[in-house]
Amino acid sequence: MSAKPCSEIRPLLSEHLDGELAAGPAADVRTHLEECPACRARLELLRRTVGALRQIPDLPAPAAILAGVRERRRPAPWHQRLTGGRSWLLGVPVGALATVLVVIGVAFFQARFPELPGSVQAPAPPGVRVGTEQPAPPAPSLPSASSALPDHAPPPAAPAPVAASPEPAFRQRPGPTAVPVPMPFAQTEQKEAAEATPPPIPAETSGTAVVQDHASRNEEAPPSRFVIPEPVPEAERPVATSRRSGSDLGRAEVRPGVALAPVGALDALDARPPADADGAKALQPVAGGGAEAQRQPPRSALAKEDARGAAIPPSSSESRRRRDQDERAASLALVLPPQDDLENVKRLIRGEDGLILESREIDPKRATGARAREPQISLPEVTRAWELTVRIPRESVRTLIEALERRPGLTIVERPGIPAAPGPIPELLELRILVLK
Amino acid sequence: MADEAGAAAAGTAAAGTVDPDADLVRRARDGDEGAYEQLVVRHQRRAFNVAYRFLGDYDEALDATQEAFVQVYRGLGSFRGEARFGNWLMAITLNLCRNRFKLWKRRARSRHDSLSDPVGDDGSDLRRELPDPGPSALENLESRQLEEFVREELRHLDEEYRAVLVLRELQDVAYEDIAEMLQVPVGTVKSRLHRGRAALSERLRRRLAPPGDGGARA
Repeated sequence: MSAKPCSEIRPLLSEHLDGELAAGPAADVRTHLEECPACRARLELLRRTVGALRQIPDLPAPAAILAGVRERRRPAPWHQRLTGGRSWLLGVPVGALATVLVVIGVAFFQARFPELPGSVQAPAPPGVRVGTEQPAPPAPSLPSASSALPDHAPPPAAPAPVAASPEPAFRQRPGPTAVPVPMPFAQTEQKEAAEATPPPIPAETSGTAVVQDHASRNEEAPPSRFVIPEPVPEAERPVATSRRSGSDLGRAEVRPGVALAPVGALDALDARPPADADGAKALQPVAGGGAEAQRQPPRSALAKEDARGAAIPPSSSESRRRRDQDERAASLALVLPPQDDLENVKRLIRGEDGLILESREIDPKRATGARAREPQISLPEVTRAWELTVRIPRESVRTLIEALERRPGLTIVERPGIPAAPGPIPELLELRILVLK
Repeated sequence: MADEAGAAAAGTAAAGTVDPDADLVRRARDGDEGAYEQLVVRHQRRAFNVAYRFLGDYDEALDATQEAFVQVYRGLGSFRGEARFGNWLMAITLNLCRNRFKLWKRRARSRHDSLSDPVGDDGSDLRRELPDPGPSALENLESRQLEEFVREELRHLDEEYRAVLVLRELQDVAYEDIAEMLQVPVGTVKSRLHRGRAALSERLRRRLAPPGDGGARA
């Protein structure tokens, strides 16, 4: 046994895994590992842990990030800026004061100028951003300003607001009312004018944020002052994507909205899947034996996102349901000869860039029951059965089957079915493999 | 002159490498909102995923990410390119995440096991010694299941370890950049990484150990 005890070797295992140990400690670790199965097991667990960490996929960036950032960047309403957000500085709730003054102003104006059409509408509630689309609460000085207006006289010219000035400015409000209204957001208005022609946003190579956010600029109704971005419910969150190349998932990136279709589409379909990761385009009919032809985001999600023009990727529960449906057609069943074993099958799968998501041993009676009822399939006596869930690149399935067929004594009793409807073939397929022995 | 000096500063970053965001940062600082939004689009995915894996909550991560970008926006005027923009953003994001986590702890929103408690991260025998999981436990634990376990256990790790693991293992960030984000030396980053891995794998080991066996190992 190595001179070093386990307690001295184990803290070095992580660096040993990365090849970062100096020559001396590295030799100590190697020697110890040759003689200590417990530390070998620890190292293997560490290796698997780090491997699993690296496989945790990235989620696409939610569309709400950019929209929320834009909202949070807007300047605060004039009364909040005046008080620093602390209404008690004025001694009274500012919102309530503003409402009272507005009511007084409206009543006064209507009494004084009943003949004018389109008298000032109901004031906006406090805290709502003053903008061109909404009727603005008049300033506290409104009564005096209104009283100075002669009948049908053009309103006095407002002092020209300075774009960079933080001070509240007054300007004439367009329309027949001709009531000067506070416009502390002159800067905001100019910004809005500039936003009428949004600058180009570079397309992101993954995720759907860019397209959706660009569409959100065209919305007509301005969002309220403090928009809290609507969180996407758990069930509607997009399917994770892989971010790493070269790993098991490297070539097989699951794009949001792209379903995992049965394998049988290989023979029937020539078209390659759509290359871009645009979420809207990803929502297309997918080949599937008996499965829904088209994946649609949940209606409630669409309704919620209508204003922003964004599509919600399909829910994870829908993904699971689709996967369940697809799996009934994407099944491969094989019988191993006595001299072969499950590990060889797994090696073949991994050799074809397949990723084994799940592997469990099942009751052989349950595994063979359904198939035994099919007269064309005759099974030898099966003593063990395993069920594997495998994610594999589409183009690798055929070569996997060919490799399995080349193994002496191995019999394939069931091959993946061909889907009923044509459609785009996704890059990745999920395959359920039943291994009988 | 001042603009050129600022531009030069923004054009260089830690370790003498050029910041790929230098031009956008310069334009954003000059008021170009489109440039700023390009920065958001460029970095939002990483920032969000770091926040999400750190906090373990989608909505909180979304909120923290937005807040980080807003803080960056407000601080652009004083940003002089002493660090890469991406690292600066990540530092702010992690800071916000840590603050939220502390808030949760105070509100007892989540349960946290400190690594200084039962799990020894120095590899010594544990007070609560559990046998190693048998070969079949690991063999039958395929990728998806292991990913689930790892994701769950990551949330319970000490924040220092979690931050480094998320940045290094999940986001492939270089040691030097992590050091810049966390404002610690590179050696500390490596140390936290190794100890974090050991702690995480130890949590998995306890999870996978056969039930009912608590005797000391030989």
